[in-house]
Amino acid sequence: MPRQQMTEPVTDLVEASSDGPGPPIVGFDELPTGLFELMVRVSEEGMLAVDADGRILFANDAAGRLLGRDHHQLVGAELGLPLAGKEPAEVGLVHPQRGAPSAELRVAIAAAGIRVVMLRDVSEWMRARNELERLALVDHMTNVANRRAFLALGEQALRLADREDRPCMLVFVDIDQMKLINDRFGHRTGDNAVIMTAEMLKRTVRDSDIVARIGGDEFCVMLTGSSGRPDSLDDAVDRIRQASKQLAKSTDYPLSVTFGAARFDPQNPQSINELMDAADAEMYAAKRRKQRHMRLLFMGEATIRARVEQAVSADVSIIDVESADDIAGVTSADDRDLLIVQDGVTDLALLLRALRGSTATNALPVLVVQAEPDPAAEEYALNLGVNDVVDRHMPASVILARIRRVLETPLR
Amino acid sequence: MDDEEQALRLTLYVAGQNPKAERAMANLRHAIRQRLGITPELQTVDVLDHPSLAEEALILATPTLIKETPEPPRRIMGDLSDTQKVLEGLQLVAPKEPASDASPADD
Repeated sequence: MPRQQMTEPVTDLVEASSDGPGPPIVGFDELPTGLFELMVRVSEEGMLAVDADGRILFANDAAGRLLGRDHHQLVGAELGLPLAGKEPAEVGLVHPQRGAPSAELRVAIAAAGIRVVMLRDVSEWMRARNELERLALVDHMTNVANRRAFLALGEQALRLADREDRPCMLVFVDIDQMKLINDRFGHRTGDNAVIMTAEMLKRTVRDSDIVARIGGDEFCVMLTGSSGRPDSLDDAVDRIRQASKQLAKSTDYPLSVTFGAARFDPQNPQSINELMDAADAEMYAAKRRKQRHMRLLFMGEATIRARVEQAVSADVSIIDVESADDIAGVTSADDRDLLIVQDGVTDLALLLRALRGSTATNALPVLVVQAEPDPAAEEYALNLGVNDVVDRHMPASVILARIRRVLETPLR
Repeated sequence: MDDEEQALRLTLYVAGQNPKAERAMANLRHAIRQRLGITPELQTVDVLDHPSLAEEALILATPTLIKETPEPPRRIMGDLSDTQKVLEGLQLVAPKEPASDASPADD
């Protein structure tokens, strides 16, 4: 087979094409004259013969097609001395119409310094490979890097920062109340929250920084900073902070994020995992600070209010409200509010409809307190879409835990 | 090199970013400095950005490396990672003693 002969070691080719003594090739005598030439001419693989100066002596049809020229025109042109090792070399062909299709180059040395050059079009295969590589590193929903890519690229960025003695910063970003968004507005809206956050981050940082979605509602950003300008990192974090605040304004559901940042210090280099843990811890501390700002909006009688007051710590403010309008007046997207309604003091269905109809309150979590346990009323309230139902005979710690559970961002 | 004419001038033709070829060039520059004691003038041409330059130079494939001066001009193409082969191909050094199983190129 001609292909096998071509890929055989160089010395065999020299022997095959020289007149000197050598072991006869089995079956050679029976083959008609000109058969090998025909094989080369009709081969789909581009084949050229090049002299010791890199000038083309022969090119088959396929070589002409690959290089976008008539194969006769190629004769005499200077390809250059072709170099390839044991593995084929990757080259780009200069094709007048097709740009630079990729090809594999293999070279065998014949007698008198003549090189046999074999070219195979691999542009389709390369395109497929690049696409696969891209898919393996990209989060398909948001088109930012995925966790795997972040670990690899982030580690690389840290090594570079270490070598250049340059600080950089890892920012851990978590979407607030993701479970609430999914439960209240549906998973399509949840997906939108993820996409909006990714786009906000991409818009806010430089192209050389790395944005990645590393979990369902979690993102990491590696800010690579500028040499000699350590404050540029703080500026970048500030830009993320400002852009985050704008997020809620662009959606008809409450979208906010909490983030934590950890600085990479080249004097005390950390791994990417250590830095992620540090930024994650900062993020959780920020979440807890936000939760300390939680406020309870209360609608009901004084005895029940006293019970709620007992359950929560003193630094949580309780605001009395009497109607949906009241509630819309005091709540805002920045606050961590929870509405506690005593069962029976208002028409729950009407109240909820009013709350959900207003953008200021459509995401406000609602907890119903029963004066006496009533399973039927509890089921009715839950069916209406309230987050939870408690009764005043429950221990204070249980009531607090249920309040926390409603307010808390879901744990990972 | 005190004679301008004799400066070693190399031009590398690539298509887009080619880190492999750039790394090979860095190694080549180093080898030329060490072995020949000269610093080559090295220019890179992206054939996608400058198709007319590629056409003028009749470039058929990338990467192609051309020794423009000193005479005679030489060009090589393909895998440029083996610095010894590149130096030989540009006729900047004599071919090394061939391995026992291959006969020397008959120039």
